Amino acid sequence: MNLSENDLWLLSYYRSSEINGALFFGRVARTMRPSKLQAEVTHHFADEAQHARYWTECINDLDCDPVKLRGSYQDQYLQAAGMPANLMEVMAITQVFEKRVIGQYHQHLKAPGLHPRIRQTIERIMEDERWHIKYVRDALTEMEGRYDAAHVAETVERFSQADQEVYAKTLAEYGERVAFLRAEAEAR
Amino acid sequence: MTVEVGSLRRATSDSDSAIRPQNAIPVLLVASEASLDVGALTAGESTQLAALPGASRGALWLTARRALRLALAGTGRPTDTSAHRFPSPVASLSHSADLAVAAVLAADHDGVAGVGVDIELDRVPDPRTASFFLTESERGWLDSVPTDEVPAELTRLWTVKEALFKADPGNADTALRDYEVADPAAMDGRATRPGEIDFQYVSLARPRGVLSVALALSESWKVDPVQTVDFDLMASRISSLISVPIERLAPDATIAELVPDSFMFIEVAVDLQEEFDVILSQHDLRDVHTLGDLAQLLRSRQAEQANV
Repeated sequence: MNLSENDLWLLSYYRSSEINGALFFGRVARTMRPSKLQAEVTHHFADEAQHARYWTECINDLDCDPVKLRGSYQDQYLQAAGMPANLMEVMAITQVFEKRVIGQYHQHLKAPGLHPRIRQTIERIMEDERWHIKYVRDALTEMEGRYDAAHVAETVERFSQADQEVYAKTLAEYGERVAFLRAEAEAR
Repeated sequence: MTVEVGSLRRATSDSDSAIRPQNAIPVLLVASEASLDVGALTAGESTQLAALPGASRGALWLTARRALRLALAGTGRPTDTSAHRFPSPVASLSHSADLAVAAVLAADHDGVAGVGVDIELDRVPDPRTASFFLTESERGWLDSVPTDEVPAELTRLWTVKEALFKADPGNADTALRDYEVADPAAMDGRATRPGEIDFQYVSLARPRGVLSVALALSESWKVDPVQTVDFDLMASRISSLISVPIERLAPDATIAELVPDSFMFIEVAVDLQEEFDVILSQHDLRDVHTLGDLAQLLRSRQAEQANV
């Protein structure tokens, strides 16, 4: 076995969150009318499912099996910020979440002694994540006319605050498993 | 063959730039290289043929009329082609080389004001003529196209413009450059004669050239209203989303019991807003407990937002 228990848990947590992301965007995609945005959300849905597969393969290549985890980061978002009530709010929470994902993966890349196979997986996923940020940002800009620019900004801010709460709570809850993240957060 | 030309629906947001694809409209295309037998012409067709100057013009006309007859028959319409005047809300004709093509709406559609088709085979417009049929922005796009692709793109845009012109019921005083496509690179998409009429078109690559079909959109179609909130319709959509029999979805049914999964509730909320073209907030949803509450909320938001 090439993974510590904590590493296995963390990679499985990533995998579980990607699966939940895929399920979420799949559901959003099927509610939307055909449009450019729907095509992008569908693409996003497919990306998240692929990312889950990448993590499964990565874990398997390191001679482990993923751990089945029920909760995910997204679940906690809904508790902290409330459910997104419309398409703009879905995009707003997605933007905040995607930024968090990129930040998280970026920090993980800086973890000492990172296994090359894990690095490869994160870098592969981050290529897609950059596009996710861009299309969601563009969608929110386009929605400013219908939803009001100030309201869009407030919504993003509300979800950003929730994100910080959830992240702090996650670090507190799983501090031992993600020590390298906590050390970095405390250093700020 | 049948092609589907994207239909349009009223925008539900500013981001949708006025129109958005919804249900495609089928158009039957029939090509013919053979002529219609003169002996089979109706009286009206015979009169029209007799009025044409020259034998070669007559031969082309007969080939086109054969294609049109077949297309009319294929869509279940009377086959006397002399009953159709162009621009037509139902049919259009084009020919190139020895081939004629007829385009006929598969079924009558209130939203279609005109049909246009154009085919070009074995011919490329002279690039110097681009300013006569392309707008400035379209020419700007063409300048960005790799040199070896310019002839094909120019031909495609020519057929698009011709199809738009033919589809336009008010084309008497228009020129091809009066029509503008939303995305010159797109094989299918939107076009407009600004301030007058909107179109949807599709282009198809053919072995020796290209063919385009356009539909002009009537005002009634452009303002196709979104669904009015009706409890049964709302319940029907929810039923299909959450896989609960519609009989259980009474106005006093509690949402928390029906949709305990929060992700599923988001799906239901977004779906209903998309369907009924309303915006709901978290605050709105906080006060909603039953399906009856939800229907009432959707109705009141729809009324409010329609008056904005």
